[in-house]
Amino acid sequence: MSAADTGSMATPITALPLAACFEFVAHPGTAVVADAISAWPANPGQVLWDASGRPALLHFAPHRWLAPAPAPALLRELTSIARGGCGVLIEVEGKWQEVRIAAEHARRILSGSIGVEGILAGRECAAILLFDCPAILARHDGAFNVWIAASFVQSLLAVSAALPNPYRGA
Amino acid sequence: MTRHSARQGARLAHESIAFTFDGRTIAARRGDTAASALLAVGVRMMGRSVKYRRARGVLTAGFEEPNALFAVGGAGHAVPNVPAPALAVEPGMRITSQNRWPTLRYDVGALLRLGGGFLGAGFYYKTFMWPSWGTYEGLIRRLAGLGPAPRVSDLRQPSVEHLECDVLVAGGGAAGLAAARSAARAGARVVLCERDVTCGGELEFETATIDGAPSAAWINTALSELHTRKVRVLTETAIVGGSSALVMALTQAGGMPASDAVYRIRPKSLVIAMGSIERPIAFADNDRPGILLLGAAERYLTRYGVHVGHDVVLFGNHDRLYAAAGRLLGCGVCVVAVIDTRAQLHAAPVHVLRADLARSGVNCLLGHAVLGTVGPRALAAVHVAPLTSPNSVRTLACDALFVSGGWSPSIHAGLQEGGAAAFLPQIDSFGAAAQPSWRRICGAANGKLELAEILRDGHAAGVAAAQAASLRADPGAPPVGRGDAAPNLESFWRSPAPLAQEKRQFVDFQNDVTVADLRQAIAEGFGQIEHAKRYTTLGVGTDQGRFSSELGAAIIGELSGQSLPDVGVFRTRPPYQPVTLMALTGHRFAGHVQPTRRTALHGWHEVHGGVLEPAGLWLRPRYYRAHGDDAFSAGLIEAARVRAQGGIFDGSTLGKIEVAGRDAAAFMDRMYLNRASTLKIGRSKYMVALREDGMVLDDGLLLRLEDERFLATTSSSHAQLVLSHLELWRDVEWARSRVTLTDVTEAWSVIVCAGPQSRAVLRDVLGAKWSTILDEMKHMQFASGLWHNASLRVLRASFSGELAFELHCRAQIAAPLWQALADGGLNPYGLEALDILRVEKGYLTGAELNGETAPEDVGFGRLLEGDNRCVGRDLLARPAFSARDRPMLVGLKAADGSSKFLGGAQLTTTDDKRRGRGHVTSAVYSPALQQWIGLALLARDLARDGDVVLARDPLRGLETPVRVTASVHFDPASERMKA
Repeated sequence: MSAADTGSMATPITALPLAACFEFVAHPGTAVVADAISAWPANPGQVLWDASGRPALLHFAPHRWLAPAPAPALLRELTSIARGGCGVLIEVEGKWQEVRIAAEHARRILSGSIGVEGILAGRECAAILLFDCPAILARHDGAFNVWIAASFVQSLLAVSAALPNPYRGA
Repeated sequence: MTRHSARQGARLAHESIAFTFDGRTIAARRGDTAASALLAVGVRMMGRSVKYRRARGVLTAGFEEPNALFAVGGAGHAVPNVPAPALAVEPGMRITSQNRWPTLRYDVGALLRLGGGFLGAGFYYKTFMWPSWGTYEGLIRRLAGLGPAPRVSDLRQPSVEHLECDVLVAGGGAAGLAAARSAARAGARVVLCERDVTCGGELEFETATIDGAPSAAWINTALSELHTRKVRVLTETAIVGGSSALVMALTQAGGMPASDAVYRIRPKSLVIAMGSIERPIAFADNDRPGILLLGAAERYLTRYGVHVGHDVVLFGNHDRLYAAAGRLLGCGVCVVAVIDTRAQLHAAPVHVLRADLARSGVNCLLGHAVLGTVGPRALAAVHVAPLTSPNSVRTLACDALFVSGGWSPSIHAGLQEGGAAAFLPQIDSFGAAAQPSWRRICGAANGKLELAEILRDGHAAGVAAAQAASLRADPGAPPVGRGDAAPNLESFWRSPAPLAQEKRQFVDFQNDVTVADLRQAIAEGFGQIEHAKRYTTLGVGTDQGRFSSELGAAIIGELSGQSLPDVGVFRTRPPYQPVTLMALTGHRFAGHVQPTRRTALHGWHEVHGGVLEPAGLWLRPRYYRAHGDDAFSAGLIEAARVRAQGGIFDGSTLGKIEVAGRDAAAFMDRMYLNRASTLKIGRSKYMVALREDGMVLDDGLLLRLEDERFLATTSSSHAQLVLSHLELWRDVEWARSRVTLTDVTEAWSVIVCAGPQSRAVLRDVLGAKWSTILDEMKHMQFASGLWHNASLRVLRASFSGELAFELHCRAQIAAPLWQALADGGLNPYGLEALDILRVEKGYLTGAELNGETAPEDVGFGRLLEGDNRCVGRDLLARPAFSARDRPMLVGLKAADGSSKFLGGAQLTTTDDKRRGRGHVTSAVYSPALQQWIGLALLARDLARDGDVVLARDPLRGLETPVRVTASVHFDPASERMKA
């Protein structure tokens, strides 16, 4: 069936090119000493935003942070923190792929799979399953950033392309 | 009946449309339901009952309809069991009646009625026992059930929306609107679900004023205010089920399950304002077409301008009969009589109403009941008698009978989670008992039957629900309503009847359960309400007993000498109304039942003829079309080429876990059978992990990247299992250890280069700076570097028995590197060839490491020689692990050197073919050995080299004598791998 037949949307989600990506993993029970980062996202769900409003460091799961395409200064700091012995910095380029959801559709599409408000209640980011695909979701000023486990991206795109018409609504 | 063109109804548009019913073209108006359109043109008979095939007409004006259920759509893909009163007709819609053959009017199955005397409750259980149930099953299944399931589904994928709100109001009648308004005024985010096309409920036909305005005006004002306060009003949306945290609502536009929308709502508070359901009364032949519930008749009149009958009789047990009769008269209906079971009237206003009716020629009979009805296919007359003298019967000619036995609160959705029902004596019915703090029931669903108290109750419920969400803005005053007076209901469930007529006093219309059936159930020991339900099928139809549960309970009480509260009502189950399986799928539809995973090389495989098949969630190439037309022939060619020249294989799906931290080595020692801590940086090791019970969990390679950093590879299918296993032990047993575990499967694509030419091609592709490294690299060594400025790790390891290298690279260079290797002369090979290569070498996969094998079973005994104390090791000493009949890994070859045998075949001795002694785990045709070979798990006492056993495969018609061999079939000294 064509998109017209099913009333589905054309490419509501698009994948962005893979970018350098790191995960910082802290040892449980160890305080992360990150004095050089003023707004260190210490609690799960917190996000360090860069000057342009992009997420720079996402505390997406307990003891685990994602640094998508980190600026050199942030990377140096994370390396330094890891050397301090409280955790490990691991390059995971290729593991997470950012996807862009058309802004006008984002809330409706996300709510087709998850309860956005419930999941992000009191937090800025969360590790989720989005249409059964492992994902990390962040929200800032009503806009969403979404990373999908890279091997699932095409599956997510296929699901999103088949979503029925009501998903157009905001 | 009313001519359709002249009808004036609140829901009708001017547009004329047409649809077909059983092939006959029916004229209708836009806004009509199937039931209203058919009634308007005089069609009374709309279906037949399931069991006795009795002619049935529409009984209700809503989703609860038990009789008029239609199949909608063309042959083969018609959606069955769509209730006619809820189905909005569309131009060209094809509607078919159900439960009849060959036609609705002339049904062969109706002959079953001749056996009505013996087709009582339990008939099937008792009768079809000899010679066996199976003898009759086919015939009975053809006769049983409602409409046939469609052979082809063309239903659309439902849309799904997760909603969060402070207050969810279920029901948009007077109480629901009042609740939603007060909650919104208090500051709550409110969602209101109304399953009808418009809000208002009974206000649509009840003569009422609210806050001094006609009820219709108040509804519009309330909806307007809700809109202003951003209340989400979902019409045609019913609450169908839920749990304490989640409520599921379903939109079926036009009452047709064709384009469902599913809402998964997480409210802080739930207000159930789902109204009440009018009850029928049991009397002989109370199921004839033309007999409707009183409220339904009024709905058809006001909504669709349909006069259900010319000469009608009203029958009931409360004051509202008189108000309704007045309204019907006012609309030009000839009301022949009002039959009131009560001996006298108490309220003054109803005396006035009755006197008015009498002046209009309506025969108002107190203390009377309808005992029976007359009419071949539709109602022609009713038999009426005083309750004090049931034999003094007189017959009233009429073509419609409107019945009202009172109202049952619609509490079913609120009790699905296990809440209890409580008897409400003031309405002779059951309401909901104590509710959890987050759930409130109000209005008619709470046993309130007067508009004023319904509005007050709804308003209070909305306020309380908002307060439960800590929202306390001023909700304003509750609306003040004036509507029909209190009904002054007096209990009346069935008319007197001789025993012989009880089998025509229907209690559950859909399942043809009669008073006689209930009497029989009691006599046979099934008098408890839940037992009676199962024995008689009372309340098991599409309405889930919403009509029949209280009527049935009351009659069981009467027949067994119990009170209605003592009998109770049976438990209700979700869904509240029928839901298509399609609606439950969400996005998991067609090809999206589960997600699929793709490697970075997926596109290359697709373009180059890779036949991709699921392996777990991964899509992996089984073979390439360029090498053969099918997996078998292509696999042989690909495997032979790897041995002869070389090949490349996409191994990206291998699980990869980075284990890092100060305690990483010690932790891995605990998690694997052999030691990790002795591994040198730049070396790798074959490792085996055990479960706690000593069974092999998985195997893989462990690479020591740095002193405190390892990369553990797992089999593709066990990656998540192994990661969870490691995390569990790290978190539970060694929570203070400094070890991090990170899944890096997708961060590293893996290209396997295998075969005698692999090193040479790699030298060319990777360039001069890698040449020396490749030349000097020993088996199980690895080196890291860059290729095209991206990270690359080259590991010399083999799963084929050939000289082989694994290239671990970033996704961005995977495709160009793969292409360069292919251009260099290495042909791609898929899983089929990999399986051949590894079986030739006796390498293991999940077929052998199946969760039931211990290390000794599969030849890992040498790994036990060390003293490493790891998870699972202590239990390896169990005697059962060395029992003589415990299976162990062996190789197999066809005894005659040519016959075929397949994986899955059972292994037996030649003299005892009935006793399985093991099974073939893997079998392939080996191009290197030119015969069928395999691996098997075979009882130790039979696992002697050279012995012959039988590979029995009766499902595939194979029985092959096979010779037991060593598990390594090819190059046992591994000279090729070490080349």
